Amino acid sequence: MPSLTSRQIALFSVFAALCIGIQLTPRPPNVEVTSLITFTVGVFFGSLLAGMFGALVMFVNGFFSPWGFAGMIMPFQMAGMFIIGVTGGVYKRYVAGESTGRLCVEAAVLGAFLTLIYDIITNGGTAMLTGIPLILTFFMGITMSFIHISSNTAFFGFAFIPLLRTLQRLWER
Amino acid sequence: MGKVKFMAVRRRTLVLLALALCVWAIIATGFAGYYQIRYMKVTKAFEEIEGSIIQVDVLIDYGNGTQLWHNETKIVTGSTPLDALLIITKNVEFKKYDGKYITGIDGRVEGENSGWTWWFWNTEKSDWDYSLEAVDEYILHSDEIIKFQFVSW
Repeated sequence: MPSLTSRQIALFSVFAALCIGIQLTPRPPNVEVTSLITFTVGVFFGSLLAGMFGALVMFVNGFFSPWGFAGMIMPFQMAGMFIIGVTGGVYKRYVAGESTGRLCVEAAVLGAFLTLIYDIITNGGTAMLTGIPLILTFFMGITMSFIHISSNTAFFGFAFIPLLRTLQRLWER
Repeated sequence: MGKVKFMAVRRRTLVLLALALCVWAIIATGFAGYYQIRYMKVTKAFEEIEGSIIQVDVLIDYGNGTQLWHNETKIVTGSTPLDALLIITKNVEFKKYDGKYITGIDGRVEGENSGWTWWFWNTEKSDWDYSLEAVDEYILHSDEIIKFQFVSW
């Protein structure tokens, strides 16, 4: 477990509160910024913390989501968001020295890919719980997945770099 | 060094391109599968409906020399002659006594000494039989031939 300064802990807590607050706010189905924030936390704080961050947000979301209690899907949502956070931590080492434009495109592609992985994991959970084959679950939920992936592609592409830069400026003060 | 950096960047780009293509391929497959499932459901529903559809031949004799055949009129199993007539034309007037009784078709309405009757084709006799059943009480069978005739007496 990485050791954190009190400033880092405070910033991490603010991010967790912010992310949970946004996640629990009524919003269109499958449009969320938790993935983006978890990924950014990963780039800023590292894989382990970001993974736990994502899992925590989805754990709280499982109980208080505006779309109702997540039930047995919750562990799959936590696992999906954990992976997004860990990937953010891994991506950290590739951010330095790259142009903003390139990072925006990379973030958009990673956002799409990670959201797809997240959806496959949660669809897998649904398939396991309902007994419906995974492929059918994926096919029947493709419209919702498409909305999820499209919105996250846009969020990652347009908001990841500004969010990261803001965090860095805040940290350097 | 320059070559190494170039290779590194190229590899990174290729990885991203592969990820993007992977996302595109999986989503495209997802939509293809989704529409395949929808197609199968619609086909199955159509086959179920198709099994419950029969066809009858309907003759409308307006009593003024005009006779119109409406062959292979498709109706749902359990339909009555009135249902078949209403599929052919919406311009039907009728009254209800015990059953329904047609008073007008396509503007041709009954008078004091005239009115609408309905008949069915007797295959054994090879002739029309006058029906005593109300037009909304008789249940049609597949390939049956019926006639609505305007008669004067």
